[in-house]
Amino acid sequence: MTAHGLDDDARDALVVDLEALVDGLEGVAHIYQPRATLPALLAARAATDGTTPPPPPRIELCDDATVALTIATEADSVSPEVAHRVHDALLARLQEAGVPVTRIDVRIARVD
Amino acid sequence: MTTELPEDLEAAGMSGEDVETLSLEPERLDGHTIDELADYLDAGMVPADPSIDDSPSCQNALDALTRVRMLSHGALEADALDEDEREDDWITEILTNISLEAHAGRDIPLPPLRETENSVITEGAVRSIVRRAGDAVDGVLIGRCTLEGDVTVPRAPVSVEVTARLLHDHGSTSAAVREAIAVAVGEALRTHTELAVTTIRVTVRQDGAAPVPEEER
Repeated sequence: MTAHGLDDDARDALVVDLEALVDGLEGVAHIYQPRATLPALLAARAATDGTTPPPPPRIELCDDATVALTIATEADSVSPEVAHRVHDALLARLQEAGVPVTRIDVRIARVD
Repeated sequence: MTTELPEDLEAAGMSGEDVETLSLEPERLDGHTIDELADYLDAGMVPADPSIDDSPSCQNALDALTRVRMLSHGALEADALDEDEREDDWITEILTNISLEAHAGRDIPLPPLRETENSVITEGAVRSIVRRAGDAVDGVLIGRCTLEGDVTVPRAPVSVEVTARLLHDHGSTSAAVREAIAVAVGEALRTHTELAVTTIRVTVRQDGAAPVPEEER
């Protein structure tokens, strides 16, 4: 049983929506894949069998009601303010969708 | 220690050890060496490699590598002609430091405004900010940057150590150059972090010269 109560399709649709939301926020330069090494391994696998797997979601909506993402901020932004902005936007959208949230992990891995 | 893998990776014959190896080798950035990143830069970053383009560590390293090439092109040309081993040494040292510093490192907390917020900036991102700020000072290339102190504890005192290389004499005194670097680094850290920076120690070296004595502020 997951805390968010969404089936796979609903969760995928919500994550796409969240990604678009964060991509459009002032000061956000990029959203990274959660684990940088895995897409490379997946791509290597795809090269041998001719299929290309879909990219993994860039925002992790976890079963324990936590949300995690890794971003780059714009150099001319104030990074802590961008982090607050991302958190507030995600929280508002998830509450609007009726999805419970206990914690949102925003990780800034680069200032672009 | 191994990593639990998704089924499709296991089906492809990969093990958790493969992932650990790619992720944790200290000389590698998300599976890439600094030489591979330099080659990627040489090729104009085409064809696009998502494992580099979507890696913040690789992007931080590429940024620094680009500035090293731009700012030290004269030295690199000399290196290519094998005319000046001393310059080769310090450029190699800078490239090694870039590789080591671009790793994500520790998570540095950003004080939350709401109880659901858990925001951090990585140590690799902060070192990259410091390097960029220092490189922007005229005639200077940052060689090394370290954050001393427990950066994972909010408001814990942190000391920043920066070693810089003076690429050409532009008439400023060493003290003025150190001051310019410290001011630029301090401003960048105040903008992008909430670290309690107590000191920024800058050491400036000139080509072939002994380090200029440190100045604390």
